[in-house]
Amino acid sequence: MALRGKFGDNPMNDDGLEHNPRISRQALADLHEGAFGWALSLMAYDAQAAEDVMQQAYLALLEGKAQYKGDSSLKTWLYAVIRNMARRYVRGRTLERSRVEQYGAMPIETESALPESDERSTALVRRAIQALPERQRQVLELVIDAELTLAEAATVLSIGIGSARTHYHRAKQTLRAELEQTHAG
Amino acid sequence: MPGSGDDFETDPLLDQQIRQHFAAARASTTVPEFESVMTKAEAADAVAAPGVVMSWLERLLDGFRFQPLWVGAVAATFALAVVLLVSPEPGQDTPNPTNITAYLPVSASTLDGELLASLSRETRWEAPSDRWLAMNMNVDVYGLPELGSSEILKE
Repeated sequence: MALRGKFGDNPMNDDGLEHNPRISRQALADLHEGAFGWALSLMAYDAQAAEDVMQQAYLALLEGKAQYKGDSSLKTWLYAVIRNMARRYVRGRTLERSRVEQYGAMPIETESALPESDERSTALVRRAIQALPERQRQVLELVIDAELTLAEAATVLSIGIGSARTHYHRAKQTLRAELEQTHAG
Repeated sequence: MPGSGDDFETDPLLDQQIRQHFAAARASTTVPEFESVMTKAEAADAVAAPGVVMSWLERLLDGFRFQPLWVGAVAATFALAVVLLVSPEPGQDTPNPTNITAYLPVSASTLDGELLASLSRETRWEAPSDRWLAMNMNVDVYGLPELGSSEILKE
């Protein structure tokens, strides 16, 4: 969040990339962890594929094939580049398509220190998130987990703001209904 | 605050559970070092990068936001050009009545033979008028038996 707009205001950075002078190496390093998480999600939590996608994204930045002009925050722009690279990667390797679609059914094993009732509702919400349509899940992830605005999430996903808002509300409604059912039960 | 500036309601408990879900999904994966990924990217070949096979068309269109739209537009233009260049001009595909034999499944000579045989079997000839003969026209043109004008007159 601290980086938002920083490099759009000051195009010439000391450690700016040669073909992308508005992007500093340090800014990329700061965004790296979150960006990798986004790539991981797009690649069905295949770590190697996510790293390949990140490498492709950075290569596009280094070559200037993807040009940051400061129209949006660097984070939004980088996430959009990663999404495009992930789609290209999946197109190039056909088997990933089915794996991406299977992501929703992926089991998640975690240890929890929550009380039993909270743990139960959390598990239900997780199942409900996994069952959400891909686009709804991505909007949720970008807005709630990556802390982008709806407009920024829409930019990343190349959809309209109205569409992003609809996906967001439907996803939230579904999850809220799951929670209410849990509490009622 | 997530989505600040947007007009949606917040639900702290639900948002927390959603965040936990995504955090848990990533928990088992180690994030590679930024410098490591960047170094690999810098070392990668400018054209062929590992893990991604780009077709020449993808490379050509790289950078366009709506690639399928461009591909569709180019394909449609090409198809239209082919149709315009290959299709015959108006009227060209209409059979020419003066050269009807070109559209028949038999050769012209075969057709002539059959016509002559048919005419000689079925046609009853009447002597043409003197005026017609005076025009000195070649009777073969009309599929008549090869009879001299004198012979016709005799009949």
